Amino acid sequence: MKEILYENEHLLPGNIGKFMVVLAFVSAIGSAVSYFFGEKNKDHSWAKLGRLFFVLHSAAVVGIFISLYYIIQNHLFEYHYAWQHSNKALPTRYMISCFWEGQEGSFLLWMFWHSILGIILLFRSKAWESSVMAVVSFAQIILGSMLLGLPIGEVTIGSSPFNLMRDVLDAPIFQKENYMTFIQDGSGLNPLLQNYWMVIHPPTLFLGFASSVVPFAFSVAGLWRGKFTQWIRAAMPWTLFCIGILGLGIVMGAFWAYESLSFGGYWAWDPVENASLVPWLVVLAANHVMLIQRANRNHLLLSFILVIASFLLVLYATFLTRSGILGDTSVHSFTDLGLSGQLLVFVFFLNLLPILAISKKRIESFLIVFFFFVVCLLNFFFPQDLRWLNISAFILLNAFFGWRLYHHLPLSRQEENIYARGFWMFIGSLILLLSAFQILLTTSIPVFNKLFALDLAPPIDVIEHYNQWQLWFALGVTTLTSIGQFFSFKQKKKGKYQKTLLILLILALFLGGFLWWQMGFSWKYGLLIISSLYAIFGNLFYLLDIQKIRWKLMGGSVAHIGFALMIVGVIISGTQKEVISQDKSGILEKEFDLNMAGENLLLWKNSPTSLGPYLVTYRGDTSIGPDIYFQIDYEHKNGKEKFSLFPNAQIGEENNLMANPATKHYISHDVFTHITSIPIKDEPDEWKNEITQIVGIGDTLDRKGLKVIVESIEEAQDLEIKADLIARATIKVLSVNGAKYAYPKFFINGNQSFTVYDALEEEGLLFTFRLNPQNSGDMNIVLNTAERPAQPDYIIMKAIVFPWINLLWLGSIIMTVGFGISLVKRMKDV
Amino acid sequence: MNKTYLILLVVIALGMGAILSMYGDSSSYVSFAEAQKLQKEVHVVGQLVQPDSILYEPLENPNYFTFLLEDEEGKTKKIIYRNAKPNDFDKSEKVVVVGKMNGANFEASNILLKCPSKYEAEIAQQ
Repeated sequence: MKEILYENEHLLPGNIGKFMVVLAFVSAIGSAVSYFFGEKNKDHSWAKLGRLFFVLHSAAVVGIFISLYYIIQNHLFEYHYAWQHSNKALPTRYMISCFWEGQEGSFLLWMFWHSILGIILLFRSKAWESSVMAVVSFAQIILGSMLLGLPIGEVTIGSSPFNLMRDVLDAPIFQKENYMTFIQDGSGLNPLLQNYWMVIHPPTLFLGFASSVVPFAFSVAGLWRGKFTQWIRAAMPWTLFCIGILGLGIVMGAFWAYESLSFGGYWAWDPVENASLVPWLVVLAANHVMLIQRANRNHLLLSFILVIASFLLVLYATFLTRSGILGDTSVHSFTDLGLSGQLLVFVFFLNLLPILAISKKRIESFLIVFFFFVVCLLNFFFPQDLRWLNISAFILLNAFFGWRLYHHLPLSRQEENIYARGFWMFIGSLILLLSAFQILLTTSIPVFNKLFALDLAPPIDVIEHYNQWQLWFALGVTTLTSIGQFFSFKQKKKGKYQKTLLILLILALFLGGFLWWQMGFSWKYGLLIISSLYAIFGNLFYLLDIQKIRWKLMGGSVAHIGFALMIVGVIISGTQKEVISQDKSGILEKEFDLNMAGENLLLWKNSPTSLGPYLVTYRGDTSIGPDIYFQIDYEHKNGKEKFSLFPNAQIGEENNLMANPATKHYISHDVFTHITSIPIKDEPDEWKNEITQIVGIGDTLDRKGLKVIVESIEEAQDLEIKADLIARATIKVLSVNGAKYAYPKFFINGNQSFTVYDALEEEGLLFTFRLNPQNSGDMNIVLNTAERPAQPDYIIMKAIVFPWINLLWLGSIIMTVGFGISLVKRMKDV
Repeated sequence: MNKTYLILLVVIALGMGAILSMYGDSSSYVSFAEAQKLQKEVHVVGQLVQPDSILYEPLENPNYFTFLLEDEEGKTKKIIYRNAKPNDFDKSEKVVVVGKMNGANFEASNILLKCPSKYEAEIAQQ
């Protein structure tokens, strides 16, 4: 077969990229092996070599990043990734978002953060370096292999972002040398990702995900070296970093959903959202358990288990969101690249690390690895149905690990006193874990379907299903954050703060009861608001009176206050939100349920409509690039408040509307506005039925059954056209929507005269006029009118008022600051 | 050790509760025939076989959207969704409707769409 010489391809950036991928992979292996021997032989020269390899690896990762960015920026659509995720119209500021639309780009981003974190560890992990970096490098080998795109027999390991179109797609056009002339543009980035928040939210979330590898690496290092408790001190700043950044990423995601998605809310218990919340809850529990361990040596076993579990849950979250297994249950759709099997194998792989680290005998390690490979081989040769074997293998390995941990660790057998802080922190952590467990279960329904050949669908009312559980967990956690700090770690008897706690409780009961009465919560939410206020008061008092605002110590209390404030914001905005775009017109229909007013309302252009406390008017649309902005004027019925919102939309293929909401933010509430539908604008008909007649000022004509009144003619100015005389007519049309005005113009310049028409599209009327000089010196007004079918101009929109939603955002900021303060304190501890 | 066991017991009980509630609250994927029999809210997976049947007249009622859906047994029912027409609806091939049968029609409380990845269609055209 003759090789085809393709024209106009740019192969260099792709080849550089592919080389960088291989280099990154090989140098990660080099780094892992060197660090491994550095740790094993306590040989510093090996560790030095590992360091060199890791720096090389990081440089290669940056190289991959630059190559791919170059390809996207220069619109090299011969590359499948660029073609699939970008196009020429994509503004430069959103090009970076192409990295997270695709699976390869996401793994690349993850690797990039691991590299950065690894470089920081080179400087900061000190004595732990070789063992911790061996683990991080091992994780990098695994992530790196996801980008290899290396075919081995039938299977391909990983998927390369540098594949050419003609490698990926099997279409006849790739037989032509000049196929590039047919590929002029890419298929573009999802408009939902073309948003400011989508530029910063995914990298933040991924940094949070990526940072969970560090505590994991420290725990493995602790097992490996037999330093079963010392690793916790070194890992704590990283646990806090992970909680802070992951939490920030989740809140940013919620804010993005609120600002740019159409569902009218910030949290929908969607599986993709849950998948990032579960690891966060587990890391949070891990952090508290580690704190207790540092204070009184209890809960060492749980510290290990939770740190390892949180890392595995991050991998599981990636598997859930990236494997396509969520299928019908999530609104987020990610395409599967056939990597899900590989991803699962790697979860097992990483799961092996702590198990191997605790096995001190060579024969034992050998047996575990052998067992693992037998399972892998069986799966490779009999891919049909080995799920029971896999589940049993997974459980068996981890049960073995748990048993080894239990026997190896210097566990304290002393029971916690119920007047000690550790006891209540432990209970709080258990509640966090139960909360994570409940979310994880229901989110995993599609996985259970696959594993156990079930056919379950998610609950009909998902929100209620989660809320009915999570409400009680939130109640428990908020109450404990308030009480817990008033006990000390060594306390044995009732403390001196009983009275204080009681006074604070009464305070919370008063304020919470007032809000409850004012806003009419159901009793469950009433209790939760009281417990959240109790948490705020308790932590505030602790901060001010007991800690005396020593900023190094106040991280915990600040984070607790932020958390409780978030809960208050969630309850108020969630229960008090009001859809003000109630449409009751459909109720007249026979089959319509009486208590079901629609949530979408039709607004005619320029016709004020009553929406809750506002008079709302749709003023028209303007196009800026591919976006159409709709101007919607709000005026409060009390006349004091006035604002305009500009929700926008893009019209996609087949007239599909892709709309972004707009929100007016006040301190006390938000007014959320979203376009749900607009009329399809067809190619307009020709103007016809032209009538020319001589008219006078004040004359009334009849066109299409509408009254047309010639109101006045004045001399006017025009910004663009210079003329000796410019006349402007004011023509009033009385339509069903009230009076409308058209302003046609007439120009005289020297001997020449010309007209500029004005049309009322909604009425389908067009006007032009001339002034004809008469012998008497007067002017005749010659009016020309034409008509065509009216183009209705209206929008269908939804508007929601969210009260006190700012408490949620404020709370999340305060919480993040709290984590930051704790992080600084724990860093100084190391 | 009493306290430890007590805590363990409560945690296990709550965990079991979560499992039971997951199982109890979960709905099921059924056909229209079964949905008729069950008379409760269910998920029905189907195909849009008659694109002409998609009807949304916002001027009449912006909260009334209907279409015909063929389930996996080949039975076709009219779906009534008392809300605005979802974006991207025309593009989707597979549709999951959540709701229950009401007489001969299916009253949907929610609609989930599965869009085919757009680039496959494009290449097929070329």
